[in-house]
Amino acid sequence: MDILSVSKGSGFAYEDAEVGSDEDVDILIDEDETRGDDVQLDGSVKTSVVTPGELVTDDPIWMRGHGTYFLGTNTYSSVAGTISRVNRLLSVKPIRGRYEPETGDHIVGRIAEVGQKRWKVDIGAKTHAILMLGSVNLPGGVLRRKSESDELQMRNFLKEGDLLNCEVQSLFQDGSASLHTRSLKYGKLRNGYFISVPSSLIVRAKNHSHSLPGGASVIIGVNGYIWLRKTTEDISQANNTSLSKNATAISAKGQYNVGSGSVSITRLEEESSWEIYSDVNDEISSTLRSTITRYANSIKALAFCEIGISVERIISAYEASMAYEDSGKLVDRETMETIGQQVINGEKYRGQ
Amino acid sequence: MILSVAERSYLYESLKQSPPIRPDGRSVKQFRPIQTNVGFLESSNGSAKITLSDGSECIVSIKSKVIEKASIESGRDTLVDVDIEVAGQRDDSSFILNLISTLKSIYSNYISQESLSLTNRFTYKLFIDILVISNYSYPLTLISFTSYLALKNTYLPKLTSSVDDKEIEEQPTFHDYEFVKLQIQVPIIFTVAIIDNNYIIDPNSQEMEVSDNGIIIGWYDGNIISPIENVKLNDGNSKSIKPELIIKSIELVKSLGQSVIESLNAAE
Amino acid sequence: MSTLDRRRILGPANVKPLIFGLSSSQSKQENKIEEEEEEDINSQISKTFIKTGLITNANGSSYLEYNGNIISVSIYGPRPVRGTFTEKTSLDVHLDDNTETISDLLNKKFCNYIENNFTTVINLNKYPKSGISIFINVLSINNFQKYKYKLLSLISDATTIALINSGIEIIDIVSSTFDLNSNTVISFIKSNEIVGLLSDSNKIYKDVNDFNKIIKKLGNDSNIVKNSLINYLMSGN
Repeated sequence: MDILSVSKGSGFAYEDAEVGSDEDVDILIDEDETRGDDVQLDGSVKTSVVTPGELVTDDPIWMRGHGTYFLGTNTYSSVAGTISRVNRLLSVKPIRGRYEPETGDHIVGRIAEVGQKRWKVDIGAKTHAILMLGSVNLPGGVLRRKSESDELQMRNFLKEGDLLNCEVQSLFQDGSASLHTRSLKYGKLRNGYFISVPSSLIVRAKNHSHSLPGGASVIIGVNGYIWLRKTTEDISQANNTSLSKNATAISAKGQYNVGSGSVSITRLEEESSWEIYSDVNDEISSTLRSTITRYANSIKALAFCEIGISVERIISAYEASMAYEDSGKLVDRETMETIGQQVINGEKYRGQ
Repeated sequence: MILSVAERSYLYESLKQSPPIRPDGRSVKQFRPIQTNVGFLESSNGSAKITLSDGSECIVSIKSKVIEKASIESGRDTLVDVDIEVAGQRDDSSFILNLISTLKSIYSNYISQESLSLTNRFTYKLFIDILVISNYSYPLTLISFTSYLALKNTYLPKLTSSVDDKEIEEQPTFHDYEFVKLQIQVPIIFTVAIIDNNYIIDPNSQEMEVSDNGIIIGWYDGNIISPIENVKLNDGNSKSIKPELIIKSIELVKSLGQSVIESLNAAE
Repeated sequence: MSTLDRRRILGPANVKPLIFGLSSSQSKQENKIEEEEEEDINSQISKTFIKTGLITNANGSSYLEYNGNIISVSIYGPRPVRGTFTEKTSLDVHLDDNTETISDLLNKKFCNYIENNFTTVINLNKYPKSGISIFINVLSINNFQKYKYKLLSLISDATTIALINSGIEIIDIVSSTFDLNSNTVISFIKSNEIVGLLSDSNKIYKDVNDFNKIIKKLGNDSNIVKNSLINYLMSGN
């Protein structure tokens, strides 16, 4: 049994990783070229990965987007990241950096402040997001009028530190987000454990709430906040049906409507009792607690190896971690690297 | 660190189980893995850096100075001086002053005078400068491990003049480039968090936040030493401790000490 | 609890400046403390003098005298604090040493010990968005080098009495005791549960049981201290 595992640091000189990074760049360039953009970049754009201060192009034809600045006719990168082009808009997407909210993102947030008719929510973005009192389901049904007494007891619904599961409703001019929880699949979180990973690692998917083998379920917030919890009956139902319902909601009208495709209003009314703001956890067995811990460590291992996080990979990392009987082994760097490698190899074999 | 009520009770209930289920799956006596660097500061006599998996980082530098033994006997000077800087904490905050007073008393008690002695009149004085760049949990164990590595890898200039300078008034002179490795035994300090009837070593920030109380325990050469103190690991959640748990924690530390020292020695 | 309006800058009408009668030369004079007496908790208690409520401007206060150590503790609060909402009371402890014997490091250590003790004991949830301040005045010290943690245990006892005097809700009476041999102070509640522990000597514990014995011995002493504190409170002084 290891008590203290010690590994030697790599020293302070930067490791010479040129060989590896060159390969990456080549691949990215290939992708860009095969994409068949009708606009060709000026010859000075050599790489798709740029660092701050690097010249991106000297052609003034481009519109400068986020992550760039210009001096004269030259456009430079102001962040380390990949170049992205949409028509004539040239921007650099940072590899690291804070989460940038987009409308429709399913995210997990933590209440930072209770204010007048609104909550400020920490979502890992540059600014706190705002959740209006009018954008949450209150006990007593969806069509209930918000009264003054609701304003006075806001802290009874959500207070500082509470975690919630919500969707970005819209963006303000300054890029901060306005959230809503007007659906039964959103709301206050309980029965589980919170971990946070860099938001750039989250793979965007249709659905971000999943049931996992072993009686646990996960909400993979697009902002990198992840909630692991016990699967209760309503969660498993929602997870099973939401996919198909979402599909119909989108196909029927040709666009996605906020909150649609989840639950009918009548059921919402029945279930919006005070219980949705409960702070009390259900009974959770110690086996399930161990399972949740193992999932958490598997996700941390994926994040450590800088592997994009999706539910398939979480499950495959979890299965790989089963080789270690004691999930405490998973805090070691080497173990995390092995698991990351196994996940990647597994995908290669399956031809993904 | 701020937690929601549900999160807090989930963590507390998990840690209450027997055996406790820690949020990162570690066992009761398992430390967080560390990464070490030794001897990278050219201008100090000894240096070490430890990085924890959660991003906590501590650098210790050891410098020395030749002083007269008489000044220590008269109480004007001390053999060891400790200075701590923690990012985000004021120098005069009680947090820092408490860390300094704990470390000063443990090092001045257990770093032997003979090991630093130069001649009959002169001795080395050690300056232990500690910089905690980022920390998410109670930093004392991290600091004591880093100081251990730094002190164990300290090289002092080799004395070329005679050791006996009682009769002749003579300043000690040193070799131009040869150094002698400092041979000392260094005490280390452990942090144990108490949760209900369980005790866990090296709590991380989440475990600290929900813990009932914390104890720091000194270890030196196979035995338990002072400080034996309780520490506040969070704001306002502390509860009283049963004496049996203190004794059990002390026993745990006593049994772990040697293997921790061996792991640290392997990192030199 | 004093219901004085503390928003007024002026003190109460009958206010008198506090004059503590000991000159510095007198206070530094070290009375001999018999080591045998340190073992006999009952004789110590018989030599201890306590008085509460002397400082009318505070919400609660106590004055304790034992063998050349004189301590006065005053409690202010719970009073509202500015800024963001907090669910619990914040507690702050200040120690003022009139004899100038306690070093800054030890001063902070003492404050920290008292703060740790009483955050555990005060029912903090009862007083949201407020703060409690504990001011400790050390007026005289006897043989500080050897008995510094004895002084700390006396400060802790005086603080308990002052808190009770202030009417702030606490879960139990904290009684602190000191062991000279191991230079240890431990504070107990509920007869054998520990809220504060501080041991700082160059003693090496080869056998863990040695420390267990110290805890047991101090636990027994603390029950005696607690009983006498209760007796004092019941006597209505």
